[in-house]
Amino acid sequence: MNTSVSKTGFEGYLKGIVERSEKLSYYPRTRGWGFVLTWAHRVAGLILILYMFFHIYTLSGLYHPARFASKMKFLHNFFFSFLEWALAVPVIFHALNGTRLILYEVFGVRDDNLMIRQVFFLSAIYVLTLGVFILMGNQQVSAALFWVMLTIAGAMAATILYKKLWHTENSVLWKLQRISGAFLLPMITGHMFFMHLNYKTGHDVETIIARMSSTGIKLIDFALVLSVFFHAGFGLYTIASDYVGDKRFRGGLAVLIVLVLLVFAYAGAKLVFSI
Amino acid sequence: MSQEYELTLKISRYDPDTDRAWVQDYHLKVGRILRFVDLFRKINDEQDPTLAWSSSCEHGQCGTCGMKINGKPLLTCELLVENAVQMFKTQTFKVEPLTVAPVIRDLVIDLEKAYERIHIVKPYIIEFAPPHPEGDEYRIPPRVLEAYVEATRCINCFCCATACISTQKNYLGPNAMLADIVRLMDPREVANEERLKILYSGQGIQRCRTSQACTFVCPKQIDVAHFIALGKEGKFGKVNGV
Repeated sequence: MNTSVSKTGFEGYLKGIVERSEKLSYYPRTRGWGFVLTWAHRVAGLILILYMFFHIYTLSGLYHPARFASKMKFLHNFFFSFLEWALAVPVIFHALNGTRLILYEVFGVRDDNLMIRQVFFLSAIYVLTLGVFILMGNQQVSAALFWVMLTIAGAMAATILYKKLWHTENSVLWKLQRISGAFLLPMITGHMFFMHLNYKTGHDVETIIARMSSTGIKLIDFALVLSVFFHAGFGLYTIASDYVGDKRFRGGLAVLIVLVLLVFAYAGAKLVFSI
Repeated sequence: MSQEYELTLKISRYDPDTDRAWVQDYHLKVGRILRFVDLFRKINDEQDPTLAWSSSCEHGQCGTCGMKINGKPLLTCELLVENAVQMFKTQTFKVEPLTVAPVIRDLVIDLEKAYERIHIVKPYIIEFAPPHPEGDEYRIPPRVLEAYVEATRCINCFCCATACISTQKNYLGPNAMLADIVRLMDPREVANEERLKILYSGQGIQRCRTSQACTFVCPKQIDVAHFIALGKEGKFGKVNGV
């Protein structure tokens, strides 16, 4: 089997662009597209971790609503809206590529060419649809219904994976990484959509505080904080362990990763329960 | 009329006596069906007898001539000039040793060192199942053999280990995992618990990131990633035999 994607129509056109450049085509030609996607998965994960730190930092402004409101006013322009929309690219790619890896590793889905195509195709649909929602900015939905549906979907995905994986001899952290990933797939992609249904949902201080005051939302947000920071921490350690041979140095890095993420997770959890 | 190519080989050189490493260019005019090992021999005969490289069977069965050509790990005894030009769309080739073990000289790596990873997984039957009661040979049903016969083609050329995204710091490597898995799927092997402990150890399949580069580069066309994924899926059972 090989993971090269065959040329058809638009896909062939894009692949042609990659192949014409020696630098762009180096890894697809020498390691395959699966390798390229694995690297992209890592880069997207790192972007999301950095964004998580920034997200917790900006949300901490909710302790001072007036200041938060003025910050949001400052960020309400085309440039920052574009950045918010662009964040959807690493979010959806990481989510769908993670799904591809889980399907390959745990569910025996071996048609990787098809799965790679689906990752790109569904990512494009998601990003474009989100763009349309941001431009419309006038959608309404019941927060309770939306989050109950998403949480059910996340819990179901996590449970299916738990049933399939938990009995295996893989390490507990390895299994939790995949289970948390399955939970986060609908939760984070849904979260992005929810926040951009209309401008107020994601930017108006009173709307945000009112939503975050709900016990149900607090529980969901806390579950999100826990899963995101565990997933991020183990992901970071995974990357570090590929490049650091020395056991002591690796141990030190693991402690550092845990400490930094614990600080941010604590800040996130405190925010969830204080608002 | 046979086509001729004017090639430039940019070969990584290393002199252990002076600990000096450099890249040396060689220009050759060669026919289309010469293999890369033939090119190295031609360089030795006509240009530079000091260039060190290794090969043994030169029929894609021993794995000794594995190298990186323009970044891709492959067997140089199987790579024809014509195919290389077509594959890389160039007549200039960067030739480097594999990265799984220290370089001894030029393109020759310390295969003994590379094989240490394979020795850890015990690439042989640790404990034989009792022979068939009606004969002295052990009979493997064709359907059972079919599931893993592809994996038995591995020649430990270390191309997969070189291509692997998990590098070689803490992972025994795809070919070492494959050697363990082959015996786990082999009904003649009884020591499955020991094998599973190796498979799920800290240097085992949990270090695999499913980049599938192993499958992509394998000169024997083995779907290495598929066999490793079977282990992740738990297809080989549990350590306590459940």
